[in-house]
Amino acid sequence: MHEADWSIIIAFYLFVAGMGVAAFYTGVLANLFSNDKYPRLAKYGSYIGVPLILLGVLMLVFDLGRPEAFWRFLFHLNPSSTMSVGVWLLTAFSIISVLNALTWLAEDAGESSVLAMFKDKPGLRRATGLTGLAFGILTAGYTGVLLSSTSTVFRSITPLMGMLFLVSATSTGIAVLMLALAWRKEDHHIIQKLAKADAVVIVFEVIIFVLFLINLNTATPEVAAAILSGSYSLLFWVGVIACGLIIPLVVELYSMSSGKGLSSSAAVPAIASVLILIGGFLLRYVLLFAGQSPL
Amino acid sequence: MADRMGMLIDASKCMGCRGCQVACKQWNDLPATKTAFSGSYENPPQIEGNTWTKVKFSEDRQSDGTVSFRFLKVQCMHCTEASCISVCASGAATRMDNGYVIIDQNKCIGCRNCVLACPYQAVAFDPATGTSRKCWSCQNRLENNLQPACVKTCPSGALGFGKREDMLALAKKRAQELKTAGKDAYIYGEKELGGTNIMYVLDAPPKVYGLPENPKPATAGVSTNWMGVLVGAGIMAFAPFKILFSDKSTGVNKTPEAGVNKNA
Repeated sequence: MHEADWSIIIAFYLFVAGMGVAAFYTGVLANLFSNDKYPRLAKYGSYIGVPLILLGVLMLVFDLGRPEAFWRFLFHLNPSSTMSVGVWLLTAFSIISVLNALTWLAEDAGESSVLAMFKDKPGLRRATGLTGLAFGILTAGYTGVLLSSTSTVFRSITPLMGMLFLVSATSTGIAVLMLALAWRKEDHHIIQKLAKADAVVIVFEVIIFVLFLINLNTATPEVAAAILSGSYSLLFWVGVIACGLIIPLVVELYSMSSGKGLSSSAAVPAIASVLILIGGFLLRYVLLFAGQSPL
Repeated sequence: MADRMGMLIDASKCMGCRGCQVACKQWNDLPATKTAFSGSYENPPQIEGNTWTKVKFSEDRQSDGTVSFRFLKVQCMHCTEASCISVCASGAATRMDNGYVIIDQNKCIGCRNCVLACPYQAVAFDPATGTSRKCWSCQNRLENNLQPACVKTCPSGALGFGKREDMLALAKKRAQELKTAGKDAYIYGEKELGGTNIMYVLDAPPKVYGLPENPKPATAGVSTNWMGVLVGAGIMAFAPFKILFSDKSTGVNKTPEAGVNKNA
């Protein structure tokens, strides 16, 4: 059997990058549509998104055969290459999100002289938030488009891969935000709102996933079988479907519908979040490896 | 524009001696790899960073219970719609004037996207160089009016080299001969992926030889996938976020509507 050319590092990268950009744009979107009622979400999203995306980029660089020559990617643009487009999206998002995080950091750091130039810059924060939102969404989508254009299994079958990865990334981004809020013992009402948003996102994800699998089963039944009933079936049903989608959805719906008593506990959304993160990683793991199986 | 060159591989004449494998290693200075017996004389099991061509052995079980062995020399097909070129993010994979596809080893940084994207598994990563490598059709021989090393060494006449159009004509002639002799005959590479520089005459369906019957280039689904991303972004920005977080009751509206932009 062919050894996997893209290893588990790439699965981690797809997961970490998707989660990072989604934490960023989730915070921006929530704050945007509430007319600046939730600046904390935007701030947390920025603080979480920046280290994650930088970690993702580092993982990519060190996975190269010649990491020291990574700069060649930055001196070349090939519009037909999803990877090349992705390099530019990642670069743009990294710069924009770092600037955005600095405007928050300057505020939190108090009288720090180093960051003084980023203090009280609502214009910069707004501009980087909005452009970061656009680049973040495209970056989350690119992780799926990359896999669909790279893998000979997935390339021809479906327009849904990019959408699936975008929606899944959004769910993991919301989850990591909820975790941060629960950890910092923030207002429970915000967490509840995020849990509601996440429930809607998960419902979308389930619909897209079903369509994706129908597509896959029509085009390459042997790969669909490997996922649904073969070597990946345990990871898929227990990890991706149960942990990543169904249990968090049930937990979120339950905590929404139940009375005040339970819903004030931060543990419930925190558990749902952890499960979503596990499922989000396994989704990428299963599709990356199933997509490399020789036909 | 130089003439487009091509190679014809006549599988009906190949006897599986693997002289082409050895000639390729010698001319291109590629080291041998240690392999374990896999139950077949096919060796190594796949194209590697330092094995650019190999003979693939297929056992084709007939309906009467007998087994016929099929030999197929495999290597980079030098596609017109080359997936490696379209996915390459460093500009290393390019097409030459004579139609051949090469990976510039100075520009390749070993991301392995082309390794995954190749429909023929003809590109492989070489840990020794940190780059992705493949058959370059012995360009340094071609420049000196020599045939590729594998063609030169082939003792059974299974390999031919020349202008692509001449090779295609030869393929059609040979297919006709096989048919006249009462055998199956297929030509592979005339139309696949826009036409490949390497073409096959086969005496069994391509599938029997392990060739993909309807290969798709890497760019096949890219634009529809990006459309999917934009649609997904539009739906998601609207449904969960706009509905749940929009604050209709707000009296203290610090920033007016200026930034309400879904970016989708």
